[in-house]
Amino acid sequence: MDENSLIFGLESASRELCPVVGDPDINPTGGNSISLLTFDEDDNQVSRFQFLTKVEHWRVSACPQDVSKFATVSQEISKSEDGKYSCVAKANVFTLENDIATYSDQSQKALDPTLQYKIDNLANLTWKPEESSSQGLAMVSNTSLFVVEDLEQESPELIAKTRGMNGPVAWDPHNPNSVVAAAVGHSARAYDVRSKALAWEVAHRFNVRDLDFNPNKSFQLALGADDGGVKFYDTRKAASPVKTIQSIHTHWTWQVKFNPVHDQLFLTSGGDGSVYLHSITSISSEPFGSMIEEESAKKIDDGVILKLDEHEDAVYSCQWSTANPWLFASLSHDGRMVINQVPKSVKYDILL
Amino acid sequence: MERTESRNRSKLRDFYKSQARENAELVRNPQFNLDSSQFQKDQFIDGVLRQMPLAALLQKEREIGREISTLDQSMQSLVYDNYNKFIKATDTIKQMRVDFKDIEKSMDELVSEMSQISKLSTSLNSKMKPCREEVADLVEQQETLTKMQFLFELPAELKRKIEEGDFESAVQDYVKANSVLRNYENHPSFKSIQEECELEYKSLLEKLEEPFSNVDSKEELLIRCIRILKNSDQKINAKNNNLESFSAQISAVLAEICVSITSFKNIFQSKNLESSLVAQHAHQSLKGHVNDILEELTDDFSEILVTNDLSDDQLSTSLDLWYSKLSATAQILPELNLTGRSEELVVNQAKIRHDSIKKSLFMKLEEEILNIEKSESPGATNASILNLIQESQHQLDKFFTMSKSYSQIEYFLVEWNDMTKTLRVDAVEHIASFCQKTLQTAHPALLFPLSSLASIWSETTVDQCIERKDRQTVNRLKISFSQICSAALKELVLIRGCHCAELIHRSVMAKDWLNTSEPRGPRPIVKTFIDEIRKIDEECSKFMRQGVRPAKSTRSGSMRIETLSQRSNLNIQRLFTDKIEIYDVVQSTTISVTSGIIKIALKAMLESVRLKTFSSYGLQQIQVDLSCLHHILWRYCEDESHMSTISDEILQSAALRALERELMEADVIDLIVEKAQLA
Repeated sequence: MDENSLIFGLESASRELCPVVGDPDINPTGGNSISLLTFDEDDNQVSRFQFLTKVEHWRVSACPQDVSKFATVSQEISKSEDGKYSCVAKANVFTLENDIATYSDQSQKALDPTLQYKIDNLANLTWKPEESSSQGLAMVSNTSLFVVEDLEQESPELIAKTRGMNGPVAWDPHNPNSVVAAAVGHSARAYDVRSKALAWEVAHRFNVRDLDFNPNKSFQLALGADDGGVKFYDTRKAASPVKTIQSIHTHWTWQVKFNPVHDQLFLTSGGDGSVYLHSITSISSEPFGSMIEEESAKKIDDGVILKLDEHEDAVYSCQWSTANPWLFASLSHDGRMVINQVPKSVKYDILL
Repeated sequence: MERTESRNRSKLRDFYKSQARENAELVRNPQFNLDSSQFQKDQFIDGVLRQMPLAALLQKEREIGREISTLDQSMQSLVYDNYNKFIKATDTIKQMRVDFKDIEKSMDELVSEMSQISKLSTSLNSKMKPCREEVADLVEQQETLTKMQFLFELPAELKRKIEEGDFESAVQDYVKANSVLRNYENHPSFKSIQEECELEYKSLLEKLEEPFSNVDSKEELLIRCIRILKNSDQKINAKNNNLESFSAQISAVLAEICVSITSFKNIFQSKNLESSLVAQHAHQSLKGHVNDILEELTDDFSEILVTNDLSDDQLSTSLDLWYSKLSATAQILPELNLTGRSEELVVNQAKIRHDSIKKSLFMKLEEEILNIEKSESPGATNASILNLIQESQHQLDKFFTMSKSYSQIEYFLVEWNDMTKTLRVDAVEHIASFCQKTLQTAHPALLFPLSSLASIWSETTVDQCIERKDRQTVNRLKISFSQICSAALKELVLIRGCHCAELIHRSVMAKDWLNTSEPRGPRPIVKTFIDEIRKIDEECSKFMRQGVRPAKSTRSGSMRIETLSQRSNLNIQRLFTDKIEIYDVVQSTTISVTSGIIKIALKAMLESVRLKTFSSYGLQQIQVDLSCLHHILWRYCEDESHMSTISDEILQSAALRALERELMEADVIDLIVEKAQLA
C-alpha cells in the first residue's frame, strides 16, 4: 500500500471522531446523523453507513467492551408556543442490532437511542476504558462531573461540582474503575470516583483543551492547551512538566492522543488546521527502543515526524485506529476526514 | 517421583479446566446453575420439569441424589477428620489460660520489684551528687596548685637546668610559663617570679651565645643553639585573627628573621667558617626553619584574609605589604623559595576578589532587570546597568595599579589581564541568559520593558559595551538579544491575547443566544475589548515605535457582508485567501503587537461561536458586534484584510449554527455603529 493519505468528505459540519474497538472503523458525527465509516486497508477505500437521527450530535464515544454500543452527546432545540427557544442536552447510548461488519454498504438507516440521560449543558462523555469491569460512562457538563457505573443505573451519580469545566474528560487506564480526570479552566483535575475526592491537580498557564493518559505508562498525562503546545506531566509530581512541546500549533491545541500500542508516537491537532505526528521516545515506556530485540533496536529522536496540512479548517479531532496501531485519522470542522499512516521508515525503526 | 509429579499436574489441569467450564456456564445462566450464588431453586425446578422428558428427569433426580449423598459423605468425613484437632486445640487453649494466670502473677511481682530498684538508684544518685561536686572541686584546686608550684619553682629549676646544660627543656619551660606570667604581671608576687625568670633566661642566652665566639666549639653544640633560637621564635606565632595586629606582627617576625639571618651570617663570615661542613649543615637547618615559619605565616595570612571581610583597599594594601616584606626577606636569603607560594596566594586572592565582584555585579544586574517595571523607561535601566558595569570595572582597576609591589609578578599580570577583559563580556552574557530565564516565568507587565530593553541592547548597547575588536562575540550577543526581544514580544502577545480571548470566549459561552431581543447596540464585551486594545496600544507606545499604520481607504472600518455563502463556496474562498497564522512572529512595533492580540481574540470568538446555536436575532447581534469591532479596530491592524477575513469567518460560522439565516441590512448596522459612539 502506498503511504499517501486518504481524504474523505462529509457534507455537514463535524466535530467528533472516535475509533471503534476491534474494527478498523472510525465514525464521526455530523449534523443530524452519525456515520459509521469502514476503512478497507486492502482496497484503500472508505465505505460509509449513515445512521439518521432526529437531533444533532456533538460528541461520540464508542464502547471499548462492546463493539455494537456507542454513546453520544446530543442537543435538541425546540420552540415553545410563546416563541421561546429551549435547548436540551442529553447523553444517548445506541446499540446496533446487527453485527458491525454488515453496516459497510453505502446506505442509511434511522436509529434511535436505547438509553438516554438528560443533563443540563452536557459537554462531553467517555466510556470506561477496556480494562474496566463494567460498561460505565463519565459525563461532563460545564459545572459538574457525573459517572454512570453501569448501564442499569437509573440516573448518573454526581462526582464533583466545579465551575469552568470545558469538556475534556478521560479515565485513567491504570485505575480503570476509580480515577477520572477532567479539564477545569487552567488545570486538569482528577477525582476518585469512590470517595468523590480530588485525587490530584495539574496546573497549566493556559486553558487546557484536551488531556490524554499514556495507556502504557502509569501516571503520565498529556495536556494540550491554548498556547498551541503540549505538556507532559507525571501526576505524582505536578509542579513542573516532564516534557514540553513548545507552541507548535499556531492556534489552540484541540486534541492530543498517545498511540495505544507504541506510546512513543503522539498525535496532536490544532485550531490552525494542522495535524502533527510527534515522536516522544525519551519519555515513552520504551525510551531505548524495543526491549525484545535489543541489538537491532534503533532509537528515534524526539520531534515532529509528520506534519499534515491537508485540512483547511480547524481540526477538532484526531484519533488512532484501535485495530491497526499505524493508522490514524483526523477530522476538520468542514467535514474533511483524512486517514493517514505512520511513515514506513519510522514503523520499521520501532519494530526492528 | 516423576510419575507422581505428572499425575499431580494432570490433576491440577483437570481442576482448572472444569473450573473454567463451570465458570463459563455460570456466566451464561447463573440462576440455573446449582453452584452459582444467584441460584434460584423454584425457577430451576420449574425449568427442569418443563424441559426434560421423564427418563431424563429421573436420571437428573438420581444424579442430584447421588451428588447430595457424596457431598454429605465428604462433609461428614471432613468433620470427623478435623474433630480431633478441634478438641486438641480447645485443650491447648484452656491450658494456656491457666499458665498465663501464673505468669501474670510473677510479672506483677517483677514490676513492683523493678520499681523499688529504680527508686533506690535515684535516691543513691541524689545522695552522691554533692560528693561528686566536691571531688571535682578538689581536683580543680589540685591542678591550680600544681601549676602554682611549677611557677614558684621555675627560677630555681631554670637555674638548675642551665647549670646542668639541659638548655632545651629550660627554654621549653620558660616559653610555657611566659604567657601566664605576662597575664599576671600586675600581681607583685608573680612579678618577682617573672623578673627572676627573665634574669635566668638572659643568663641562658648568654650561655648560648658563648659557643659562637668560640671557634673550637663543636658542631653539635651549634646546631643545638640554632634549634633553641628557633624555639624562642615560636612564641610570637600566637594566632591572632585581627588583621592590623597581625600585619604588625608579621613585620616584627619578618624583621626578627632578617636580623637573625644577618647575625647568623656575620658569625660565620667573621669566623671564616663558610666552607666547613658544620656551617653548611647549620645553613641548611636555618633555611629549613625559616621556611617553616614563613609557611606557617602564609597559612595564617590566607586564613585571615578569608575570615575577615576586607574592603578592596584594605585587601590590596595588605597584599602589597605582605609581598614587599617577603621580597625583602628573599633578597637577604636568596636561596629561599619564597616567591612561588606567595605569588600564588596573591593571584588566588585576586581571583577570589574578582569572582566576588562579578557575583555582586550579577546580582545587582538581576535586581535592576527585575525592577525594570518600576523604572521610568528602559533607557534609564539601560543607563544604570551600564553604570553598574562601569563601577565594577573601576573596582577591579583599583585593585590593580602599578604602584603595588605585587604588580611586578608576571604570572599575576597575565591572569589579571584575562580577568578584566572578560568581565564585560561575562556581564553582558549574563544579562542575556537572565533575560531568557525570566521570560519563562515573567509577569506579563515585565515583558514590555524587557523586550524594549533587549531591542536597545541588540541595536546599540552591545556595541558600546564591548570592544569592537571582538567582532564574533559582539555579533553573537546582538543576535541573542534580538532573539530575546522577539521571544518576549511573542510571549507578551500570547498572554495578553489569551486574556482577551478568554474574556470574549466566556461572554459568548455565557449568553443565551437563542432568546435574545433585537440588537440595538453592541454587547458590553465589545467596549471592554476595545478599551483593552487601546490600553495595550498606549502602554506599547511608551516602549516602541508606532510602525506603519494602514492608510485609510474608502472601505476602511466598515464590514459589509450582504450574502451568506454556501459551504462549498466557503471552501473555495479559502483556497484563494492566504492562510492566517494566529500565533505569528511579532515585530517590535505597536501595530504589530495590537494586531497580534486582535487576531488571537477574534479567533477565540470564532471557536466559541461554533459551539453555540443562534436565533436570527442572535446572528444579527454577532453581526453588530463584529461591525462595531471593525469600525474601531481596523486602525490597530497591520493588515485590515486579515481582520475582515476572520470576521467573515465568524459570521459564516454563526450563520451555520443559526436556526434562521437572516442578516441585518447594512444601513441599519451603520446607524447602530454610529449611535454606539465607541470612538
